[in-house]
Amino acid sequence: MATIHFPSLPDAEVVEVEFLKPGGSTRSMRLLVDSGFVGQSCFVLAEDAAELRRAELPPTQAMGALQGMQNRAWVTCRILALSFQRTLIAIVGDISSLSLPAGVEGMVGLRFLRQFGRWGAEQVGDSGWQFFLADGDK
Amino acid sequence: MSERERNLRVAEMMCQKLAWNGQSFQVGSYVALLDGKVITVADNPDDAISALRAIDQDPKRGMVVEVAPAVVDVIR
Repeated sequence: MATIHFPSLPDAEVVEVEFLKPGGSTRSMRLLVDSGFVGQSCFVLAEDAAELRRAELPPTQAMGALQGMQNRAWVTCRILALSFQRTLIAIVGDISSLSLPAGVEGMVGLRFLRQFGRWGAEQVGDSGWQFFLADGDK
Repeated sequence: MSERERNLRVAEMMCQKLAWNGQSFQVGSYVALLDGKVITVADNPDDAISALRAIDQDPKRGMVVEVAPAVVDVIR
């Protein structure tokens, strides 16, 4: 089973995801992990992520830290260490209300996490933590 | 009515009624729309997007719908 680890921030779990632009180039983003973000969408990304859009899909109604109708796009993401590549749904819009940590460009939710066989956080050493994603192969 | 509005109208009917213009759709299928017309029905988003982009390369045009009941996204 392949597993990838991401060092945790002091107050948050994060993952690094690479996105494929329609033209073929890539863009990596550090994204906050929030299993309490639930629904049809996998990502919440800022407006400048519109460059990743492969196709539009109907807007969604959002509740919580984001409210009201939100535009969405199909984006293709990958994590090379897991040989993982999928086209998934992202909310793309104004994310200033999310108060993300510095260097974090968006969020992944439960539907993204459930693309993997296992995921979670574990302590390493005396005080450090890391988040992990693992594929579903035994 | 704009191209996007035509697509949205079809998408709404498709997800509510699982049917549009005499064609039925299964929950979990992916439907590519352009100018309010069904381009293809696929079992994954990549195939639906590929079929759409083969006809129109502009990522701002067309729409790919995951046929499913409307779901509220909750961001805590």
